[in-house]
Amino acid sequence: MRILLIEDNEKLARIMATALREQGHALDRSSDGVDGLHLALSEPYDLLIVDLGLPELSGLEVLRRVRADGTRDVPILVVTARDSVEDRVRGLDSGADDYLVKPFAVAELLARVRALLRRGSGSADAVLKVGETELDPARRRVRHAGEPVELSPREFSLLEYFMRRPGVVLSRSMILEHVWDYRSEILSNVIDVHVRRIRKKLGDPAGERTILTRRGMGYCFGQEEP
Amino acid sequence: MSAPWPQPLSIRGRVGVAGTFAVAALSLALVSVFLQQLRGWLDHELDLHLRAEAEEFVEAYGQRARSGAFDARLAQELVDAEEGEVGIAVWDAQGRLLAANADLDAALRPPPAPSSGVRYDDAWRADADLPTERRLVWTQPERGGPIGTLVVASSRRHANGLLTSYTRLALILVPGAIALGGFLSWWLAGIALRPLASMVREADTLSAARHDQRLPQPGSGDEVDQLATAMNRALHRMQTAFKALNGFAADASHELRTPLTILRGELDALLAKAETPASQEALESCLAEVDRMTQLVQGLLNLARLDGGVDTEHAVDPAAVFAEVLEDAEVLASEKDLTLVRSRWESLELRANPPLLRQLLWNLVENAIHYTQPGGRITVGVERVHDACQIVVRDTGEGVSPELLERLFEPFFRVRSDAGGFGLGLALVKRIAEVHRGAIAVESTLGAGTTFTVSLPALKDSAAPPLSS
Repeated sequence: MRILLIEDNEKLARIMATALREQGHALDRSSDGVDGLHLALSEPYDLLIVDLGLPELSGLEVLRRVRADGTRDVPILVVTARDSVEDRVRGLDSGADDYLVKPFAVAELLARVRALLRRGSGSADAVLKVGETELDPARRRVRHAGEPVELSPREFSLLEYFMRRPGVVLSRSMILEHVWDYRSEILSNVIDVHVRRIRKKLGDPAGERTILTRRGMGYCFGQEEP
Repeated sequence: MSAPWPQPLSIRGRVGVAGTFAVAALSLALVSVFLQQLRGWLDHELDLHLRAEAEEFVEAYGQRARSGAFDARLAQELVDAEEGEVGIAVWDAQGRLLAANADLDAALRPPPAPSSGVRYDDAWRADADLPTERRLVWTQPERGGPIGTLVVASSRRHANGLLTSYTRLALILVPGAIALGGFLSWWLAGIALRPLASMVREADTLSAARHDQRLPQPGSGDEVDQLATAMNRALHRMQTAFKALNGFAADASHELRTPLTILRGELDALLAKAETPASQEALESCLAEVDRMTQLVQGLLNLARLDGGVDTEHAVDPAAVFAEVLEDAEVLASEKDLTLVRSRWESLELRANPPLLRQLLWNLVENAIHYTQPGGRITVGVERVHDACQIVVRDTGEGVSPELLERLFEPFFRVRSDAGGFGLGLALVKRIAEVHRGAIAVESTLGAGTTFTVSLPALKDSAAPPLSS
């Protein structure tokens, strides 16, 4: 996949570029907004990674102009030090598909890039089916191997988030952002407990067929797809 | 105000008391001067009357006396002819009573020494005041005249009656005037202080968390207006200082994020290539520290962000908002073999920022879970107490000693240094309560447990029945 990274911090850009290249992506780098926008509009990238704090032209402006171009349905991952709800909303309104807040781990970046490159499909209300598990978002019902499964609201939201992205490793902070709306360091323990309970209810207490643990990265529903 | 003295009185009370005393002093002075004047005036009237009677007697005697010698019979005749309530007595120069009518005892008493009393035309003098009578003494100016000393006297009954009724009237009017004066000063002080009282109410609604709020200025240019202006200037200076401080905290936190990201990235890359267990361990330790610093930066930003102004105007039912938090908390509690129970769980409405409200409860419950030994119990309740929504989190944990209790909400304060975290959780809870115009209180007994109570103003028209209790 071809990725454009617009990041003005040299060291950070190098780390990100190295990691992405190791994943087999073709990577172009740009260190300011004007140059980055020009590249983004002239080359057919599969993904843009844009830092919001750019010289010459702000990241938000780059986002707006790329989206205004109309021909670009390219997914955009925003990287920023600003993480308030208002900042997020502004970023997402300007056309960002995901929002990565500094400081982040490289694994987190890679997980998000993977998720964006394989964006979730299907309409919001269609019944999701992965392996033996079926989830009906409209009726809020879950069946596993044909048997109905009773889930708490939180467990349901969590399972829905997993099942919308089968085969994609989801990091803890991605899970937190999508399923929880308050932040706490201790919440990752809560994720683990919820995941354990869901597994048990799906008849997979060891986590071998449904929600798989990816050490140091997060969780993945079903086998990771190459 | 049930507290007795020496409770300091309000300005209004003091003005009322001062007004009462002022009116009392003024009206008592006026009444006493008036009664004194009235008494003098009545005496003067009486004196004029007595003098006329006496002169009439002397004139009648002078017309009818044939010889220069004193004619006691004529004198007695004239004295007896006297009508009305005037008593007349004639004394000779030696102090013998020559003629008198029996109407008045005073006239019968020997006249006093000529030196005392007031003189009229150098001959009349009013005798010293007797309480019930008034008498005038006239001494014939020429020596050897037929009459030595003439005494006329009258009862003071009418005058005294008038004085008594005026005094009675004063006894009724003066307390009335005092009460009225006191009430009027209290009332007027109330009117004068009303702008101040409304300013106090306005100032009370200023939230500690909202530095952009100002007192309304009446624009009248009077003292209250000047006070409001001065207070607003002070508030503005505080806001500026606060903004500078928080802007610094926010900027510093943001600036730290990029280097932290780089640090992480470099350490991750090194860790992937680490060849010896020792270097791997060192790198992992470094990464753990980067994580801690990241958490610290996040915690500081969360705190600083609250001061930048947040939207707390969503109408929410905390009982509903908290449902998810409790689900997470139950999960965490059961992992530690703790019982999490709801006590009162009332449905009500308040204005709030739902994510912040969830964060508030989560931090409190997480804190309770952290400091409670396995087997303990954590109770969470939401209830309406008067106009407030009370969120209560009670644990059966180790408790906090009284001297540390008030420091719990200070940033970076930790009861146990090995507790992990940075001691920002409860500071954040307090700030969240404050931006919602609420407050937090804590009670604790060592070895028995701790209770946190957050009070937030509830909306009045939300009389929903309790969901369960």
